[in-house]
Amino acid sequence: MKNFLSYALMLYIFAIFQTVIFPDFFFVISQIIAKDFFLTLTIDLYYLMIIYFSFNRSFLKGLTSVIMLYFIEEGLGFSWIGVQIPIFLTTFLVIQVLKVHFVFHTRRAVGVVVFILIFVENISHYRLGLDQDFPIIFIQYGFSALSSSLIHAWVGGYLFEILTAFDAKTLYRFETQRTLFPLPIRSL
Amino acid sequence: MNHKLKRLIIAIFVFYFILQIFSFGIQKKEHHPFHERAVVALTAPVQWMIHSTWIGIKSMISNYVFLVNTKEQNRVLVDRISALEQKLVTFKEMEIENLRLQRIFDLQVEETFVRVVAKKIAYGSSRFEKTIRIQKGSRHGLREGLPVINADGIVGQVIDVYRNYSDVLLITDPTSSMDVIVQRSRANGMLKGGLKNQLAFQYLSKESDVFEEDVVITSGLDGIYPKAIAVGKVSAVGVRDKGLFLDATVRPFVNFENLEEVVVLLPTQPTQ
Repeated sequence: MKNFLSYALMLYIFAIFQTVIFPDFFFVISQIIAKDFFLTLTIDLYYLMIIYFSFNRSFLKGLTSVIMLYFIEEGLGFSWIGVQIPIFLTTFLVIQVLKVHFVFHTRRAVGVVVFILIFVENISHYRLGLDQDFPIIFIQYGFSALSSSLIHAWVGGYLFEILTAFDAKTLYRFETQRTLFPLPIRSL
Repeated sequence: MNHKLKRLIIAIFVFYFILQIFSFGIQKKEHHPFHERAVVALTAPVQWMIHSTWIGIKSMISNYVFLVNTKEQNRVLVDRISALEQKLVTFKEMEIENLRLQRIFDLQVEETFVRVVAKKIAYGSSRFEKTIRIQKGSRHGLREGLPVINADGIVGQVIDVYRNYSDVLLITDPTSSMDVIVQRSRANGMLKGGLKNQLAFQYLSKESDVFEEDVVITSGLDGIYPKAIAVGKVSAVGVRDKGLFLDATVRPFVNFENLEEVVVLLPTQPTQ
């Protein structure tokens, strides 16, 4: 919790980079390789942090962090507007339940969780938000949903390692029970 | 004896010397005297050697000093060129900006709208929306639902308004749609975003007279965008035998990756 201000600052700085500098950078890259792909590339750091805080060993502290993050994000425009609360609550609950049955001590494990959540969120957006049929979703938006999920899973793995190292002695102690982080502090 | 001989030798030398002095100014010597030639023969090479060395040293010193001066001059000149180049870039940028603004003010828009020029300051961060943030807000009279254009055509509409900033939903966003007509044939349909930098031309009747490269303009029927603003060109037309409607795609005129200034159209009469 005491690092929360740093996380908020990180989110703000990243938002500024993503909205002002990255588009120009991606525009230049897209001239050289993979036109179209980079133009629409957006990293949802807010949602990655929601997932990260959902792994909190304490249900209540995790929920508080997620709610605080929601208030911090307001105005930055990362999220799917109108459904922020259902999304972060669902994500939080899903991860808390997953933690009871699985262990997440490697970057790959975290990556798989991030991939699934981002992919499901993307598809839900096309189905519920844009009211598109599934065949059209997979034909028209399938590639972008898949690539976005892969990139988030990749970034998420590294991000979680950094944040966990930062939080190791406060929020995210690795523990030996299956319901929480079972291995000693070395990696996720 | 010795003493006498010594005196004699000295006398001869003195005489020779006086003779030489006298003869010096009287006539031009055809041959240099022996002693002179001997002295010259001995000293000249040394002189030459010292002279050459000195010239070398002098040249080196003067070159070094000159180089130091040149280096300094070079630095000054480089600084000056750099400043001038920067000025040139600034002037060029001003010229381009003036041209863009000129094009914006040359746009033919209905007289019921006031133009508010705004600079784009950022793109949206959301994975789900295609938006831009502009540097004008409620303080400048902006409100939700106002059309936004630039010199090339329709950009989008205002969706969020803050005091000094507003968010604009681009026409390429999947939730964006507008009523349009084909300029040549007046065929009517809806343009929807969602395709990457292309718009889906929907609800065109199968008999519509639509072909590639046809210009599409706003119809003014959707209550948001004023009539006859350029939107784009038809880039592809689907098969006419399939389905109830004819499918087509439109490539917008606006380059959304290079947006700089936009114009928000403010109705002079408050809308109901």
